[in-house]
Amino acid sequence: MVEIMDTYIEIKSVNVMATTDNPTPPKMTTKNVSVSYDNNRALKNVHLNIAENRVTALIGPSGCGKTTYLRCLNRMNDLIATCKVEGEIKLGGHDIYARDVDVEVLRRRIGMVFQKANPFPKSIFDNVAYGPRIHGLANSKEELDAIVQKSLRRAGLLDEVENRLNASGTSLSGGQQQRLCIARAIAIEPEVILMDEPCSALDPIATAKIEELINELKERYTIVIVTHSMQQAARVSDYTAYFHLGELVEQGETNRIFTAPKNSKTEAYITGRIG
Amino acid sequence: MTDLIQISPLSAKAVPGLTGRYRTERNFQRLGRLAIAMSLGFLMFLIVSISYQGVGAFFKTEIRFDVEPAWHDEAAGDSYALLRHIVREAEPEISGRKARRDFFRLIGADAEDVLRATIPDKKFIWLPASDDMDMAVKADFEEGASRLTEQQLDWVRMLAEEDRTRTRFNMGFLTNGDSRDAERAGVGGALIGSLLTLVICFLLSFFVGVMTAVYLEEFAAKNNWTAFLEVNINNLASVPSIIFGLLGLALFLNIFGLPRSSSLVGGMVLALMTLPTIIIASRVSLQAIPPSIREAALALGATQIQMVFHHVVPLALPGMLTGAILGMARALGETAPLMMIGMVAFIADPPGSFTDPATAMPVQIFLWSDSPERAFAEKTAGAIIVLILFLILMNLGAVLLRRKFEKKW
Ligand SMILES: Nc1ncnc2c1ncn2[C@@H]1O[C@H](COP(=O)(O)OP(=O)(O)OP(=O)(O)O)[C@@H](O)[C@H]1O
Ligand SMILES: [Mg+2]
Repeated sequence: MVEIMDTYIEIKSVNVMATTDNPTPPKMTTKNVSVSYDNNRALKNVHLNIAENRVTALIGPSGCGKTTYLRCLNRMNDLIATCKVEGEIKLGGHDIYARDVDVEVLRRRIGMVFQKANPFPKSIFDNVAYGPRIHGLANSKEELDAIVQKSLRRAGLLDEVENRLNASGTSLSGGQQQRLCIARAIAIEPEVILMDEPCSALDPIATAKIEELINELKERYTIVIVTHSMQQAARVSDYTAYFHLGELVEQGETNRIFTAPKNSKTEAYITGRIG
Repeated sequence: MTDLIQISPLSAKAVPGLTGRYRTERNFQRLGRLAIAMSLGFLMFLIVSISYQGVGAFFKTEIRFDVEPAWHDEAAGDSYALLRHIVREAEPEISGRKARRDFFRLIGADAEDVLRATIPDKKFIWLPASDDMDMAVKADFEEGASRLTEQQLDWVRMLAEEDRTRTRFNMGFLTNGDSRDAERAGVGGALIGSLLTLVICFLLSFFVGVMTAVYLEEFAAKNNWTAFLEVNINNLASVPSIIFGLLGLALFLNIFGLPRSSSLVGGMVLALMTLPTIIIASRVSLQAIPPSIREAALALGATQIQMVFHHVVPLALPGMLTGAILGMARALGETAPLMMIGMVAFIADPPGSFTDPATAMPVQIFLWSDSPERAFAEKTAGAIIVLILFLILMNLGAVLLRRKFEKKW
């Protein structure tokens, strides 16, 4: 017993070091964030930093507030009339809930991929070109073509759709649709990409493709990913945050969280005893 | 012999209550089919009886007369004199004022129009028969089927035996305006009036209705005030159309001084009536667009307006158009509000512009159904056929438009 306690304490101190001596500067910081729907608290006092050019995984049992947290980061929660967000969320040091913040500018810098693939019922080309078009990122048809090609290639979809760019985005398979949504998100070159269970409806092969993609993307983008798969979190993320009933229970380097969780709830969850 | 029949454990009988459930299901389906059969039956009855009565309106009887080019010169442009000359030459045995006058009753009031329009080098000419003779020929010379006397009927039989009668498609029925003479009366004026009215109605109600729906659904805050508006719009949709007619009379005619009986005012009144229908249909089709599409657009940094007009409205358009066309179809058949603003007057000339006095199809049907002449009964049914064809055309247009705009999901 005593031995176990000792190692536990030891690990705990190491972990504190690991989180505070974070080598990469935070891209986004969230301090004391609480969210409530009507009077139902969904998140309580969450402190979490998102490291730049790293993948941060959010894990936790269903209903613990992962999606809610993710949607705070690009203010998608503004769309829900009953949703109230408190606390401080900063992107590159600027409060994103400040009065003079324009959500369109913010969302152009923080892209999002949803849990359920939601391509527009337009052509594959138009799906990807939509963002660049509304933000005026291309000055000519050729430039737009180039952006679309590049985005599709980076999303690992180009080979499959190259000769049917005019086909409807909704005619693709589920996994292809999800990669199309990723291509659409990266076409406007956001700084941060939020992914809400991007692989929840996909088979292992499509999942592997998307994980590979995440690995490539993190060189240029900061990624926050919600996932229910421990293996996926372990494979793709650098940092992991564990949520439980609206509270951030534990956060730290992924390796450390999975090998030596300091909180018993985290341990119970990653070893499959709850959740 | 055993009465223990083996029941398979996989059959419906093996599960208690399942056969009963299937029976309910079958009965429900039967009821559904019965309902469809009944509504189809009523529809068929309507279509068959109307076609039976009205198909004659699309045909007219003509009589052949010999004519010589010299007669034209003699008449010197007086087509009535020419007509008398032709008849006198053709039927020399009919003598006496009364007999000749009776024979003249077999020739249509529009015969002179035909004569005026013919080139004088023809050897013979087909002149339209009068409505009374037309009815007699269509009824196969049955006694009492027309107002013709015994003598007149004999003449008609004689003409038919001499092969001097024929039945032709009655183009005038589709192109002419209204007339006191049944031979001349057509639905052309009413058709154009209806068309002009609908154009005004569509232009006013579709864009206003769609914009109202878009604003209420996508931009307006959801509060008591918008809930109040919604209740009122729903109420407006069920206000009797004659009330809108009275409103139009008071507002457009008496206060704004717009031209009475014009298709402009008719369209405005019908637009008032159609507007709530279009708003409701548009809101329903906007609500049917999944939130995921909206979120996808907003997450890319689109503004609310861009999201609505790039994604939501194009997807909702088929539903909006369907609602609009259904509303227009109802407006096309509306009579009461048009009567309130004076579109019920007898108008012989087809309207040339939106401000000309005009009438509309249902009003024309109403007017003709009131006429005592037998020929007008046929015209009434004929006009109903035209109106129904018009409606079918509109609904077909709605289906095609929906096909064109509908996106594969
Ligand atoms: N639009 C909403 N309105 C009201 N309550 C909501 C809404 N969205 C989420 N909630 C509540 O907030 C809490 C957290 O929900 P959230 O969607 O963030 O969970 P999650 O961790 O993403 O779950 P899952 O893994 O199942 O997706 C839940 O209790 C949920 O009921
Ligand atoms: Mg979720």
